Amino acid sequence: MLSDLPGSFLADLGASTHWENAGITIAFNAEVQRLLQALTGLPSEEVSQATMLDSPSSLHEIDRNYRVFEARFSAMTQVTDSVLERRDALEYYVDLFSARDLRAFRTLRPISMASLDRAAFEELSEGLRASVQKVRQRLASEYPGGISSYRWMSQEDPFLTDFLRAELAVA
Amino acid sequence: MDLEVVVDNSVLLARCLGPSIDAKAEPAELAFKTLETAGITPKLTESLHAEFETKLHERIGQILEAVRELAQATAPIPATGGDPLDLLEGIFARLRAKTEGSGAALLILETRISSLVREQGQLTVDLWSSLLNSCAAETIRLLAEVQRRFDLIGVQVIPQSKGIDQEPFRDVIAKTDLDHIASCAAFAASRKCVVLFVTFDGKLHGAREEILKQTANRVVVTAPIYLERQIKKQAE
Repeated sequence: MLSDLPGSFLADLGASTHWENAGITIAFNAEVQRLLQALTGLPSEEVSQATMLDSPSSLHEIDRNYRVFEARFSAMTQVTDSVLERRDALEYYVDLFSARDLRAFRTLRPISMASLDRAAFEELSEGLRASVQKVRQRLASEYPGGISSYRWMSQEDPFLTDFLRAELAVA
Repeated sequence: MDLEVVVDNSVLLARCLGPSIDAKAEPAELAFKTLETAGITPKLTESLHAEFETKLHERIGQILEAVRELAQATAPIPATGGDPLDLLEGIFARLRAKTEGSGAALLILETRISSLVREQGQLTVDLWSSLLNSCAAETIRLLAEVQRRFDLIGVQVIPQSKGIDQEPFRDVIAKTDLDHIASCAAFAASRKCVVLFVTFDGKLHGAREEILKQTANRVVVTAPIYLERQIKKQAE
């Protein structure tokens, strides 16, 4: 709170965390639903422990479907992990390169933008945004149902509508 | 000749709003329905996409910076019987004087914070601090929600064409739109297609004839309400 880092830095850290979590949660839920449906033939909300145990699927089918689940989910986590790596890179750069010595590293303290190289900071921020963009693209293309059902603000939320109206006025 | 449709950010933003919320949202929704019916994927130039994301980040950043300024200022805790809103008004006035170019962000935040303070009634330092924390979290959610809505519209970003030339449009349209129209012209020329540029921007509509002339009728500026007619016209 006492730092003078640009607001875009705060937005980048917050949004990247949000999308990283959204990516993992939405993909995991969708893939579990797909797996349950494939094994039981039932919609996931109707699947219980008993229906799972009574699944008509052979061991071979279970193995194949589980591998598909693992491959698809891990494809998504590779993308979300990249967000984590890039956020870490930005955070560590800001923290380490602004520290007078190593004792100050990873301690809560005011950080001045003047202690950092603007070009390096921008490059790391760009990289983080690009990785978030990849998560968003993947969610929109692979899990459109999931992303449309996760509404983070209601249509009528005044904060959202005021914001969009203000942007529309200057667009 | 093939037809492509590029949508301006004004139309995309209006599409992110519900039709019941804003007058422009209804024609924007109509435009996307028209495109869906015609089987046309709406396109966005890289310049428009970058502008959308950059402006969004900037504005959210401004709001978050203002929240940080509020956290550093004295909490608006009035003397007994006083109203915290009186103090809040003063805090925002000082913030406005301090920060240039953040007017819209401050107004959005002020509306939100004042409504939260009004709901809260009696404020304490702890409540004020927790209110600011939740406001910061809400701002991030706001960013993600706008991005989510944008992603769901399903626009396809077209890669930057080679040979973008802004010169023919320099005296015709605003500097901020130069890249967008020049990108559309380069895209239309390289694909040998007609590009319908759908926008609410009055200045671009005003420059419609000149843009047509400079692009040999390849870039047509149109409004959402005329989109269906324009598609039919181009098909003929």
